[in-house]
Amino acid sequence: MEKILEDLLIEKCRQGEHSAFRELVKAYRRQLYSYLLRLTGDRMTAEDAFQETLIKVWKAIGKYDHKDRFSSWLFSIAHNAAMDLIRKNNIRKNFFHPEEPELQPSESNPYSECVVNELKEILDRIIGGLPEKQKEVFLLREHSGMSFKEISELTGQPLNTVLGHMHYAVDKIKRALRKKNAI
Amino acid sequence: MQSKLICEEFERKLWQFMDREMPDVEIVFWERHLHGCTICSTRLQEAGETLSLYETIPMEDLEEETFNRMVSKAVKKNRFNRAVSKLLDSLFETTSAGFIRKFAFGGLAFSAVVIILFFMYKPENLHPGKTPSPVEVRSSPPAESKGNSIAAAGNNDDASGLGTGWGKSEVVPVKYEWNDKSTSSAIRQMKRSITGIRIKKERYIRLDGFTLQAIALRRKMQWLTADIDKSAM
Repeated sequence: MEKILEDLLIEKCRQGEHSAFRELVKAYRRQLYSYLLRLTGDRMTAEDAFQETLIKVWKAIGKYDHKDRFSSWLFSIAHNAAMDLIRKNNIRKNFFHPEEPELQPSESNPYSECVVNELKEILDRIIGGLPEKQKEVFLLREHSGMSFKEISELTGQPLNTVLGHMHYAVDKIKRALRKKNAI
Repeated sequence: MQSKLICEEFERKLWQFMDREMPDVEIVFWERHLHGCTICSTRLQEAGETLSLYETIPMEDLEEETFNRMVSKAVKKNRFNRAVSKLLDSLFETTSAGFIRKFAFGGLAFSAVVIILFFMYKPENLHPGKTPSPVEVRSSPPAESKGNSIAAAGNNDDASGLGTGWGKSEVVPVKYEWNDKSTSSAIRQMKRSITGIRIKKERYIRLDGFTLQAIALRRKMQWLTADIDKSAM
């Protein structure tokens, strides 16, 4: 979404326009929900976290500082909401098992569809099996577009630790994919 | 040796280099290093490939209906909060309307405090109509509540260890105002010792046979024994 349009929608949200809020969040819906789903590893928890994020964003939109990127602000709220829920539900130990595939790849080729599904399943398993800190950093970097500095501020870890987590996460993914002959 | 150290440093900085989260001078330095180092360039390439592979998998999405419901819920939930904050904002206006609102709000708050304080410290005897009827302690059980009143305790004198003379007189005209605070707390304590349940607040205590028995058994309590002695005399 363009910055000017985004600022306009934020301003309208501050005035209490519900439709502007819907439009604003809709732009990040897929990104945000995907992130929450992979972080929590559970559809119900992801939806709860999504709902909680919406409530918090609508409540605090007046306090949003235009100096920060809206996506970073939104994801930091979502991340905190998800972590709270994970702590509450104590579902950390559960690995991610996708319920039903909801893929709609653009290609109509059934072979490529099958490959994408398989790859998705493999990646979901690998990410679900990552240690929490590594998963957090990897997913934040991939979905939110936050810088490592922002991630370090959000997670309260030193920058070098965050970079280390990213390094180990990608290394593990790479190795697991190699094992499965995906790369 | 030096090259190995530089490669190790690149491994640490790889992600910042990828995202260009470093000063331009540093970027130029690493680009130069990458031209001559196959290990680091392979490392960078592999990292890039892994990430691009992750990016190929499609993202999950919420259903439109679910999303709309969530947005409506979020907006609805904060409607009250927004109204309150709007009111508070208006209170801090410097205009004359703001002053009137401030005055009205102050008056309302003061009234609320007075009402709360009145109910907190309300003397219970202010409402004589609401007080429960005084309890009559009998030495023999009334016909309709045999074995279930204080008299029952009186009849079981020997077993309960009550003093002599308790069950001898016909009627002991003991009357007690149960809405007395000290009595209520005494009964609460007794009930707690009997049932093991802590009763936090009980303004008017309904005295059933069980409690009355307990009262009789606990004749150590001064308010009861004093009355009993008085009546026995």
